[in-house]
Amino acid sequence: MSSVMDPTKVTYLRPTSVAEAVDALRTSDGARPIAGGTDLMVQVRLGRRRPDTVVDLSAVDGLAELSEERIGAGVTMRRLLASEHAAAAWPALVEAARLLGGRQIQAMATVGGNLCNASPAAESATPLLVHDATARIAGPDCVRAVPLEEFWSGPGQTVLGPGELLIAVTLPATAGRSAYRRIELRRSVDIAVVSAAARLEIVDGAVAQARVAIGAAAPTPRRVVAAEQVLEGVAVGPDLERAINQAAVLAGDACVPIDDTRATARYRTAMIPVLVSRALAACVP
Amino acid sequence: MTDHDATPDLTGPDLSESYALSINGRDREVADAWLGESLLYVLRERLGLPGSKNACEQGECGSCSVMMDGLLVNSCCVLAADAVDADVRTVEGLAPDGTLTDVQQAFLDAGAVQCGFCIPGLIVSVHDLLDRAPQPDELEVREAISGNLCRCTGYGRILQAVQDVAAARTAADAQEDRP
Repeated sequence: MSSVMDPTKVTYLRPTSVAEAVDALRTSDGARPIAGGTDLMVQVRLGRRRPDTVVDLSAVDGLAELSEERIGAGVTMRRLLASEHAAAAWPALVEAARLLGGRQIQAMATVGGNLCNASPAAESATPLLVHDATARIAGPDCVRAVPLEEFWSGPGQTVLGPGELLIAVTLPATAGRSAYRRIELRRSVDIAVVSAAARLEIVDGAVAQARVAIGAAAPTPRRVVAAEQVLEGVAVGPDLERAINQAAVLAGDACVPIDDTRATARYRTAMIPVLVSRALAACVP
Repeated sequence: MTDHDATPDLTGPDLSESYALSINGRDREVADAWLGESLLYVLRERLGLPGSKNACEQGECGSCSVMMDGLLVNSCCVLAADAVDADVRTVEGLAPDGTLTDVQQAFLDAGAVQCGFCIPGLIVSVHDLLDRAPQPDELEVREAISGNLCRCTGYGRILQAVQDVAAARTAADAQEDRP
């Protein structure tokens, strides 16, 4: 057995503050941050990433803070699963955390890592999209905020520039229920074939605000605004059932999936409407 | 490279090339080692603790499961640096004097062991489960061991062994509670 990373080729840095972490990430273009390690260690082992500098974020002060409107990038799935506030405020996110890996992975995998790994299938992505999350990014010069739907630029790619670090996502207080649904090949410890998250805020018997997001159906997780628009203003009852069907079809239209080992593009496109209606139906009280 | 020419010194004095890990309640010195190694590698190759198995080395199979500060983790994905200052418990620490734990004995009695490669990880996971949930239902057991892959048994006898231990512990507790 050999070590996953080669010490003659990789520099290990362990900053203790965000400012130090930003400095550390700027030491090399080949620097990668590492938090729980559940993606990066595997990618290095499989030769998919070859960082020359690994910046360990686990000692960075404040990254793992969890509050009512802010999830630090270092918050683990296990922390979300243990949080009463998360269960009440962001049910879709907690459902997704429960489906992300087994207990071993949930103990280490972080929200920031999941978002920055930028998989189109990232479990926490669509739930955070339907909760209107904003990415808080620290950089060499300033801190900036980016709406989460603009955070990804492609599979495995984010808008993070050199020396920039995702430090948290912030979420406005949102009302209503949210839900997460996915299709997988194996019930546990598997990556979503396709996924969907939804949130409906219902005021006086009608939808005041709707959110729909789809995963593993396009190069990045994405919101489907057209689907949201046909839901808003609709009264709960048969009208909403019809609108959910329409929204599901529109979500299917928004798919730009690929064929891969898990499924064909055609299957993904066919399944997204199914998942979107299931997620929306779960949001109706 | 950026215009930063000086590499900041971020490693700190106690994260140098010799460091200590707390393994099964004992401080173990790791000499002349690099902190970017995985905890699994350090356990097996540097500390002579081969109980944690290296099977997939990609966080899928759970054969390398250990407890770190009370949380079940895959040691193949944990940086050794992150285990410094943590309380690490490996399968070796469960039965230090060579007497099998009730979970280990139940696996043998139920015939839950075939090739055996996944078993140390499963034993650690099952101890973790029964410490948290002394009387788990089948779904809880399946959830708890979902991160531990066994390619031989089909899990039937493993699930049986877990229920056997839970029942035996409950019976023993009832015995103790008697006046």
